[in-house]
Amino acid sequence: MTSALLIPHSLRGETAISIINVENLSKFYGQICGINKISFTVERGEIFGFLGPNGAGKTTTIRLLLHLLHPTSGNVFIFDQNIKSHSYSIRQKCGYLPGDFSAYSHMTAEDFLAYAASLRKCPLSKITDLAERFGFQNSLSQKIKQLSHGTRQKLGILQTFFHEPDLVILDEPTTGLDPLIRDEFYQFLREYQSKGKTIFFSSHNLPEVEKVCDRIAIIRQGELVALEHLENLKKKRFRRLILRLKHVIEPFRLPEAQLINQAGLQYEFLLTGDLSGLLEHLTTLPLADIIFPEPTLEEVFLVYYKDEKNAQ
Amino acid sequence: MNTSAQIGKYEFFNIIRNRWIIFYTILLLIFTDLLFRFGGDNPKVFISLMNVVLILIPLLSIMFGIISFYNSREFIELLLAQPIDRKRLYLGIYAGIVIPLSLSFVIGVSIPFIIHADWNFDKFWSFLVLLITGICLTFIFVAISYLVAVKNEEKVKGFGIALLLWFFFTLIFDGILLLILFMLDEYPLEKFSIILTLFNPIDLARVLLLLRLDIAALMGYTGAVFHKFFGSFMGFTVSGSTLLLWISIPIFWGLKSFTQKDF
Repeated sequence: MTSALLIPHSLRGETAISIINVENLSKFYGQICGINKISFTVERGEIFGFLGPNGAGKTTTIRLLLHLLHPTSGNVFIFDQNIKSHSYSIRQKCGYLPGDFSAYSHMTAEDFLAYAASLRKCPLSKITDLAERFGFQNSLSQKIKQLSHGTRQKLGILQTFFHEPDLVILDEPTTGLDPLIRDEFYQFLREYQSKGKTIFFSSHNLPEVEKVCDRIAIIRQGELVALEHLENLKKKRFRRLILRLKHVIEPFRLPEAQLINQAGLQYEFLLTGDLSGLLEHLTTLPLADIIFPEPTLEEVFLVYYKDEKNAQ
Repeated sequence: MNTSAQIGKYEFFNIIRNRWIIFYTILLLIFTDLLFRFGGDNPKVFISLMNVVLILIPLLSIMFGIISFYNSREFIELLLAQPIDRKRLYLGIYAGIVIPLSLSFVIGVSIPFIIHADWNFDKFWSFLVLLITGICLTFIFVAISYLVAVKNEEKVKGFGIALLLWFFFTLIFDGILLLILFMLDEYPLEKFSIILTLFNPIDLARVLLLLRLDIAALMGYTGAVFHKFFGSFMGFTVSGSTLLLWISIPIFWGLKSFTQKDF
């Protein structure tokens, strides 16, 4: 595998080929907004992260991409074809994995895969390798209702990738997978990307998206709040800092840090900038403990909103 | 094999492994067998079976259809993401449930009939009408249940509407019909009541089944009018076409709604 292939075309200085092109896409359920005028493009050979909390509009967007939903306004072009008029031919080249994969419960996994293959009129030749890779070979003959949630999700992975689609749309794909299989899946995605395939990866888990994606769109309350390359996102340094003090002191402020919570002797900050000034300041405090936990998505959004307000 | 047939095949094999459909077959089998054992081979058995066909089959079909549709919703969504035409998918899943349900009915009723009945041409013909009517009602009420499920996102609401529709066709419609006939008893309403009968598939099935029995003669003048109309070639064509319409309209309506539905 060449590392150059892991980088999308635009980053390699080549002409970018848009696989997904979303233009001012909106979906309203009566008065309720699902998504509002979102636009983005996904290039060929890219792993595109679609990040947002539950209920933000991720699944609505995915359903619009797959033409399961009809948009209120706006357009979706996939492989340069409008999804409204060419959904059948687009779906022939797409794989889709929902977060909660389900199938006929009385069917065996093997029969289900044969069914999926017959619908796509495509051979099952790659299944053995895939099943081996994700430790699924012993579950092939089992009934789907007997499979655990994680194992069922592995079956979902197999049905998504066995026909080697050019575009894969994943909606919270690692739900229920154990950490080892999850890492194997991330590795598999990178290898798959190296074949020039495009992956749309939706998740509410920032570290997960950071691990695999080249570019990330952040959606909140139906609106796209950020569209960043991973490097830029990392520069934002979303970090949380929890300080526990030995005793009560006068109110204090930390440079490049925003106090988000205080309870007794415990202070919680959101860090957004350079840490050098901060560390110097910390030495002056009567510290009992310092913790750097992973930031939650809400905290990431806080940073974006802060940036937005500053820009205004 | 085309896509609808493929989907139908897998849906069929999934449904026949369902314990409820096995229970339904066994229930019909035991019930029909008991009717023959305790009632002997006489028209009473046929009338009792007719009531099963007219009440139980619409109820079970509508409930089974709606449960099956709502339960496989996530899987339907997954199938919709595959290169499958929506119409073919809908027809496939419809065929996949309506065929095993009809088979359950045919097996459940036929086995005791074959064992116990004293066959002659008339009895065979009546039995055939019973089977065809039962199958038609299965097709109609599964189609209605699918239409209700497609139109209603909320499961509870869908169940409520389905049950209400069953109740309307089995009881309320007849109540309204009787009320009209009672209120307008001074007018000649025989033709009007024939027309009204066509608006309820259960009533239509009831008339077709009753006319297979000698008791039609006991129904008086109205019975004679019904017998004259539905016993004629014209009546047979009209009732057959109406039953086909009762199957086709909810199927095509459901199909149209399904192709436009947001999942």
